[in-house]
Amino acid sequence: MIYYITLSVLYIGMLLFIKPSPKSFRDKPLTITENFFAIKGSLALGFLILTVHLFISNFNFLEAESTLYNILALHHPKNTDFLISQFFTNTFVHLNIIHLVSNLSLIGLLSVYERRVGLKRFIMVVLVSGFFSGLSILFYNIDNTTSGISGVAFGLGAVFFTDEKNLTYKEWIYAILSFLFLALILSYQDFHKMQKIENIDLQVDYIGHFLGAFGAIVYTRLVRY
Amino acid sequence: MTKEEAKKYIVKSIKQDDELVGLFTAQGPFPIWWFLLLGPLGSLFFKFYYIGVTQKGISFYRLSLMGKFKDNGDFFKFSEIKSVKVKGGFTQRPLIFTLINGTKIKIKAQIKGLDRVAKLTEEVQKHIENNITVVS
Repeated sequence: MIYYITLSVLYIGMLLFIKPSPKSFRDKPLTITENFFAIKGSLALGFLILTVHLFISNFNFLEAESTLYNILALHHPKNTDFLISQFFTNTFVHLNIIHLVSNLSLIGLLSVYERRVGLKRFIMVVLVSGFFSGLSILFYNIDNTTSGISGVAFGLGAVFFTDEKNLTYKEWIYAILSFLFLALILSYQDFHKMQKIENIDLQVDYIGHFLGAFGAIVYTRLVRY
Repeated sequence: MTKEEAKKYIVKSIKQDDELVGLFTAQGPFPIWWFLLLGPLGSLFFKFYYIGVTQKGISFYRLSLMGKFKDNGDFFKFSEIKSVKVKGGFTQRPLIFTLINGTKIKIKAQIKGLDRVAKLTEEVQKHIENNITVVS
C-alpha cells in the first residue's frame, strides 16, 4: 500500500507542480487549477493504472496476482482464457512494479501532448493505440499474454511528432521518420538491457509498440483537428 | 521553413499601418532541467522563435517541433519594452528584453549560419537599440 500511495503522490504531484511556461509572453504563469484541467486525462490515466495494479497485485503492489492478471491481460484468441474485453483491459494491467513505473513515467512525460490537443483527442489516441498494440498478440505463441500501456505510450510519442496542424505530406513523413529514429534508439537500448537479464520469462512487445504508434499516426492523420 | 516563407507569414500577420524592418531566428534558453531529467531527449524541449522587427515594435513567433509557426505571435510595441541587454557571441547573440511589467524574455539570436536561415543583421540590431533603452 505504501508503494501505491508514494507513487500516486509522486505522479500527481510532479504533473501538477512541474508547469510549462505560458504559451504567450503576455500570459500569466499557469495556476495549479489551470494546470490540473490542462492534463486531467493524463492524471486520470496514471491514477487508473496505479489503482488497477493495486487490485491485481492483491494490495502488495509488487507483482500481479495470477488469477486477476489472467482475466485482464490479453491472451491469444485461440487460447481458452481469451476474452474480447481483454483488448481493452490489457492496456491498464502491468506485470510488476518496474513494468508499471517505466510506463507511468512515459505517460507522465507525454502529458505534453494532452496540453496541446485537449482531453477528447488524447482519450481517442489512447483507445486507438491501445487497441492496435493489442493486435500484436496474433504474432505470438498461443500461450503468450500481453499487457501494459507501453503501446499507448509509443502511440502518444508518435503523435507528439506527427499530430500538428497544417503539416504538409512531406513534413508529416519527416515527422514519422524523426519519431522512428528516436523509437529505434530507445528500443535498441532496451533490447540490450533485456539481453543481460538471465532467466527471464517476460519479453518486451516491440511489435505492440510499433502497432500502437502506427494506429495513433493513422488515426490522427485521418481525423484532423 | 526558409526565410522567404517565414517573411511572407510575418508580413501577413503584422498590422497594416506597420512595416517590417527585418526578421531573424532565435533560440530560447537551454532547457537544463529537461536535460538532467531525460538526457539527450531534453533536446525536444528547446524553444525556437522567429522574431519580426517592425517600425513600431517586435513580434515573437514560437515554432513547433517541426519548425512551423504555431500562432500569430506576441507583438510588443517598443513602448512596452523597458530595456534590452545585448551580449556577445560567436554564432548566436544573447538578447534579454525586459518588459514594462517586469517579464524577461531571453533569446539567443542567430548571427551566423546557412544562407536560408534568417539572421540578426547589424541594421536590425541598430533599429532595436535605437528604439529600446540598452542596458549593459
